[in-house]
Amino acid sequence: MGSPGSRSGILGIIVFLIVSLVLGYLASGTRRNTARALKKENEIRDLYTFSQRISAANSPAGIFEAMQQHLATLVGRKVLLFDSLGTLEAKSERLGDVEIPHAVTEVVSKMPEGGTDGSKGIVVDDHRGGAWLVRPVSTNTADFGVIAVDLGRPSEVFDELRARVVALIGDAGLSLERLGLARTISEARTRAETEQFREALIGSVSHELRTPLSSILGASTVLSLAPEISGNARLKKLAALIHQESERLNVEIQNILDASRISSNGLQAKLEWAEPADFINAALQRSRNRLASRAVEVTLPEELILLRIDSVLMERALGQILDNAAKYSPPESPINVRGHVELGQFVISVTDHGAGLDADDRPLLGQKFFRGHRHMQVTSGLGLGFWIASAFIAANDGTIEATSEGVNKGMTVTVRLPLPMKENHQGYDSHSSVALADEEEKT
Amino acid sequence: MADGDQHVLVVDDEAQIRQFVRAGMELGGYRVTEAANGSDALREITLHPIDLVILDLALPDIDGSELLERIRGWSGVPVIILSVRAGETEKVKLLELGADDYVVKPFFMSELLARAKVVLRRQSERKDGESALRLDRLVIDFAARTVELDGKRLNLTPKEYRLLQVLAQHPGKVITHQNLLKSVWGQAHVNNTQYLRIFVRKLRQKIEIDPNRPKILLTELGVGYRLSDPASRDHARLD
Repeated sequence: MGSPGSRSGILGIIVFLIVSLVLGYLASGTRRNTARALKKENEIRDLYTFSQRISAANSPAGIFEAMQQHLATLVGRKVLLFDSLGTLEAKSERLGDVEIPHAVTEVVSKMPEGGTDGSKGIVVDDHRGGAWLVRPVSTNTADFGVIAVDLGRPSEVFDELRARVVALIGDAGLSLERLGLARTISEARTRAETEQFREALIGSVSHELRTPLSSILGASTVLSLAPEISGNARLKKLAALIHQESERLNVEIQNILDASRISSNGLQAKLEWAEPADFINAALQRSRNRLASRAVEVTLPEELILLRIDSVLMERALGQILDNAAKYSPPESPINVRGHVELGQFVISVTDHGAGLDADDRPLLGQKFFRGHRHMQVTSGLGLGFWIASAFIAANDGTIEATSEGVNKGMTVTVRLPLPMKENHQGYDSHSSVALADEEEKT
Repeated sequence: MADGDQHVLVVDDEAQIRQFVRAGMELGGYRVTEAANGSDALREITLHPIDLVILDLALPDIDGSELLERIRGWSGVPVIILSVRAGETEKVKLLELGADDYVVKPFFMSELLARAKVVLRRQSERKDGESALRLDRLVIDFAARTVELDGKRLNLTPKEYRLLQVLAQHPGKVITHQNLLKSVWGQAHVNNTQYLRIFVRKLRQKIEIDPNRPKILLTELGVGYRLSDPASRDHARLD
């Protein structure tokens, strides 16, 4: 072997060694990179699975579960979830029994009302060398509770881990809020559909009831007219009974129809210049059967009062008030109806001397289907009257109020309607030069 | 009781309603023919001398208000409308189309009989062409253009008289706000209901004992006014 050959052989070995060293270094770097990439991929897969589970979750419980599992995988340690009252609700199961450090429960119990900016979470020293991160699930509402994650011993990865945990809880919290919102919306929609269906049903049922009722009521009134029956006291009473009861049924059906019209916002007041005396008289006329046995004293102003109202709705409202007054007061007791002008309003008050209101009933009066507990068993009715009256009066920009001195001390229902301003009031007078001109007294 | 030969046509698609209306009208002394739809009704009115039509609005073949319009095209026969819907706008429309009266279902037979009586009497009086109208305490002399209350001459302004006159041409019949405004104030003022309210009040102050509880010049809420007809007085109303 010649020296140049051995020299080149040594050189070859050196080159080989260098190349293999470089290759080895590169290979281990690649392995490291591969491992890192694999870890990253796992994390991303976990995160992806987590986000999929979160977006697929249709209940808060599902989100909590996904969040817990993911956090447990991520930190490989304990995860605890407390409800909004600070009670332990769930824990990561695969880590076995967890002893909750006192310091953590203390922070958790103060968290909901804490007022601290919870977005970064609070790191709690568990006095055993470890640290816990405590953070509300949502920073907007305490409803979703508080989460506590065992971060283990502080190390250089601590801050990064903490940031990731915080970000993750934040995502879950947002999903929960979105879910809550979505649920509220869907509940409202279901409620509206149910309500609509109910109103449609009530409407059609009432109509279907009304058609045969027309025949019953009409036929009963023919019977009352027939000489064979009007000449026989017993039969006459029976015919009158059918007649009265079908009339009562008719009133209740009308109430249901009115109520469904109000609930479905189908109420439209047609405001016109009108005299209150007209609708008051019409209401008295309509309720005359119920008022029959009593003295009804009506006091109205001498002068012409003009209001901007829907007389038909006002008549129905006052009719309900009069019917109630008659229903809940002794048959012979008087009822007073008084109309007067007071502080820019036209005030109508209906006073009876009957059952009055007791303290329990007062706040409930005016609710749909409300009936005083004293009357439930004794007096028939659906409890719609006052509620309907309130809605009709409100449609006329008026108010209604019931006052009573107490049980069996009677009741006064006061209706206040806006009196058009004096200037507007004279609006119709200002035309007088033209349209209202009326030559002096006729010969 | 009616004359016995007065002929009433009852138009309703519901047999039950026709049945009791027929029974009631016959008890009232009328002769009754029934029709279950619009075309039968038209044929009856064409072929027979009908004195009164009681017409339900909901008919299977033709809308009741359209049928009323067709009848009014060639006949002045009195028509009383039966309707389940009691909307004021609809009442006004029917009156403008020429209905003589309307009754809202469910109703008392006594009420329908009373309305029928008023409408038929109005029809016969129209033929007689009376020049004076007596309503209890009130006498209106159309020829002399005078009004007397309890035998005493009333001083009415021209517009008050005109208002009373329009109402008195059809005692018992509801005259719509628009019609009254048009007749007394002219077409330009058909929507100025407040004029009407003021003059009705003035008139009531002169002809009623208590203008707050009128007995002669009656209000039909949301529709119009009518003069009370002695024949329809004190009858139960359910609409």
